[in-house]
Amino acid sequence: MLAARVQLPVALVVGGLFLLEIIVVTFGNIITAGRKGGDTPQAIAQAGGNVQALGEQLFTRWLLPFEIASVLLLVAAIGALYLAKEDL
Amino acid sequence: MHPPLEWYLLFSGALFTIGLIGVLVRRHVLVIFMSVELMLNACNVALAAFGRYLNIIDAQEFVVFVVAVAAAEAAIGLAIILAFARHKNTIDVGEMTILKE
Amino acid sequence: MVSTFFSVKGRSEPLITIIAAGSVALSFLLSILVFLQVGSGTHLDWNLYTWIDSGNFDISIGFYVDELAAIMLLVVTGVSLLVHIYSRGYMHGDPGYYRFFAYLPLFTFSMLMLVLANNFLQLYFFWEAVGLCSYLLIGFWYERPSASFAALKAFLVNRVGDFGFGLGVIFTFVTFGTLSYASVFERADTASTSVLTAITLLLFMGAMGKSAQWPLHVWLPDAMEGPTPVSALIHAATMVTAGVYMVARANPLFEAAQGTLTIVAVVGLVTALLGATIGIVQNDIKRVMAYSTISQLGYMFFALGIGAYVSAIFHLFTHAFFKALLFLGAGSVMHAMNGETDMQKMGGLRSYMPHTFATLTIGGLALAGVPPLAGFWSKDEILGTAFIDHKYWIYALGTLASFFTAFYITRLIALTFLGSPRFDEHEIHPHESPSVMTIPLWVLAALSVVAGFVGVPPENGFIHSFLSGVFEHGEEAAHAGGFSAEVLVLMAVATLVAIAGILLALGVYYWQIPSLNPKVWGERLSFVYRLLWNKYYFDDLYDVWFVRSTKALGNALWFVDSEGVDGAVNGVAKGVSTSSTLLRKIQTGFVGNYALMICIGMVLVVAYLFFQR
Repeated sequence: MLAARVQLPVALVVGGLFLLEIIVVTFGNIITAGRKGGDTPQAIAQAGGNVQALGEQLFTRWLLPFEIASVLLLVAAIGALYLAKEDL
Repeated sequence: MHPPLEWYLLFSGALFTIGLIGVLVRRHVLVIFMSVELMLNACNVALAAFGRYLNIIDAQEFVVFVVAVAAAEAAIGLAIILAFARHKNTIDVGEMTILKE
Repeated sequence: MVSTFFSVKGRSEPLITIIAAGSVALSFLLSILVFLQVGSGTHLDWNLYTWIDSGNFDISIGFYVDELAAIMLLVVTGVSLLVHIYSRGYMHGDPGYYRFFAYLPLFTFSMLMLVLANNFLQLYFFWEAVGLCSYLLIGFWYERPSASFAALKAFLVNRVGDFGFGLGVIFTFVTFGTLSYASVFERADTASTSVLTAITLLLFMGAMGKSAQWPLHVWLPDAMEGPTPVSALIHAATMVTAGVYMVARANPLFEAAQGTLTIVAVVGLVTALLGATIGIVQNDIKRVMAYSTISQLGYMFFALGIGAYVSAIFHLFTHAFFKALLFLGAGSVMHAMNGETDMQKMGGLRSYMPHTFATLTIGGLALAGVPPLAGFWSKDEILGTAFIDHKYWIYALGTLASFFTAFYITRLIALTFLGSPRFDEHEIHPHESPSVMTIPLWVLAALSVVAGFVGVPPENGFIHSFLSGVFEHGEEAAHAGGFSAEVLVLMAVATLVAIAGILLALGVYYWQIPSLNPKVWGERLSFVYRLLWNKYYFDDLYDVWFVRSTKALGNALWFVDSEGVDGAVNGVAKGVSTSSTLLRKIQTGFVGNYALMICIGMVLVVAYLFFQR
């Protein structure tokens, strides 16, 4: 089909354009970073390493998204199970 | 911290582009899936790089969540493909044209 | 004062006639009462019903009765009554009898309300109403295409005039802030001359249309398609005089705009000559009368234009009688000749229809201006005023028109009644008309004789003192009047001119003096003859200028509509259909295409977001 054969060249073009954009954004002065945050490597080391720091944040500030993500995984598992069943 | 930030971002962008082209060009369903995962991980890389270089720990938190969502999406996606492939007896994306008018 | 109308669809002719004629008779009697009351000094300016009342703007239906209105009332109701009676005989047996007697009183009603109006809006409203009745009555025999076209032509030409009239009314309101006569006339001096000139010119435009003055005269001859009583009432005595009445009524406005008055006089004079000259060569008995009416109306406007308001109204008064008489007489002839109107096919009817002959001759002599009949006093007073005012050219032209007038009417009488019959006596048996028709003829004949005496002595008669209160600014106030030597000389000249015209016509058509053979003269003056026969080509001119161009415009616009507008609509539909066929190709069903499109979009969005500074 024509539609399928059109894919390859156009996709390459699109990909190329996108890469070009990334390069321009990265190296041109289009976006400037905001102020640096306060979690320097020294501070993280003090808190007991990366994993400790992540865990701390996960169970205090980002607790709700954590719970929702777990529910999401549960739902996904059940859904996948159901969808893939041969005969119900 | 040794390589400048730009390199990480460029790397992430390249990965993303490769994944993009893969999604658009390949005809095997599972390969398309892998390309999607590739794109997601490219984003993770970018996120982690920013987190490291701007000293923001929340960016690395976000990576955790992205991974979780990616897993869920992979599960569902594979289940759908399984059901569909069973039905149509094919895994070539070009044959799956039931959305056509 | 109001004549009602009952459209009785039942077939009982006598009943219809009694209701219609009866109500008109009642109105006539009331008019006499009004006349007497007004004569003793009572005036009336009374609002019957206020229609709109908002702030500065109030419109009401009301009555304004003064001497002028009183005289008009007498004329309108009197002639209308006689016409109603006459029509009993003339329209007898016509399937549309009931319709006729519904329209005729409707017209009388409208005309009366017009005359009695006390504000310009009511005047305009009933002005249009009489136009409508004219249309209905001209096109009475609507199955005849010529009649329908004539009615349409009348209405359209009228409309042109009425357009100007309407603008005039609007300007009046804008300038004076009110439309009631009393208020406007009081403040007539406060407006600037140019404004007043504009207003009066526009109002006169309406008069030109309604009273068939040049250049809006073309509808009146064609209006003869209507039944003869209609021609007598509407197109001789009443509706066409509405224009004269209006100018007379609004004389404070016109007096303050002397420029317009000059134009009025010129138009009147041109029309008088125009009508008289065309009338000489017409062969249709009613057309001769129609052109005569146009001509006589020209006299009236001419009189108004030179400030002789009383003379104009006087002439209106006498003319109503003898012109109605002439028309009804012509109708009597047509009735006897089975509807024939071509005079060349008549002749010798004197022995068959003595009453008609006698009355018509009296009417004709009155029109020609032979003393002591009515027309003489009124018409020649107008000319006399012109002379005394040192407007000698105008006097000369007017007298020339008089000569023609005498000529054409004598020609008419000679061709119709005198000599030997030019029709097959075995085929057509003319007979005198029934008394229902002849009695009104005699009444009008009598009036044609005596009506003139209200204006004797010239400028000092009864009518002059009666109307003097209405026209404060008129020229009459300046003249002493009476039978002065100058006046007597003028009277003699006028009489001689009239007699000369009569003799010439008799010579050509009755005694048939060989040297005056009309055909020979027609050939010698063939250019003139053709010009007159084709009515100065005005109808053709208008056809080319207005009718054809409007039709062409209509066609062009139709073209634009069907091709352009419809084309656009259809084009849109077609465009939608075509584009949908094209766009359908996007839905390939191949998911990869869809993903591709998403990505293209993404690239574009990123480009836009990051690169727009």
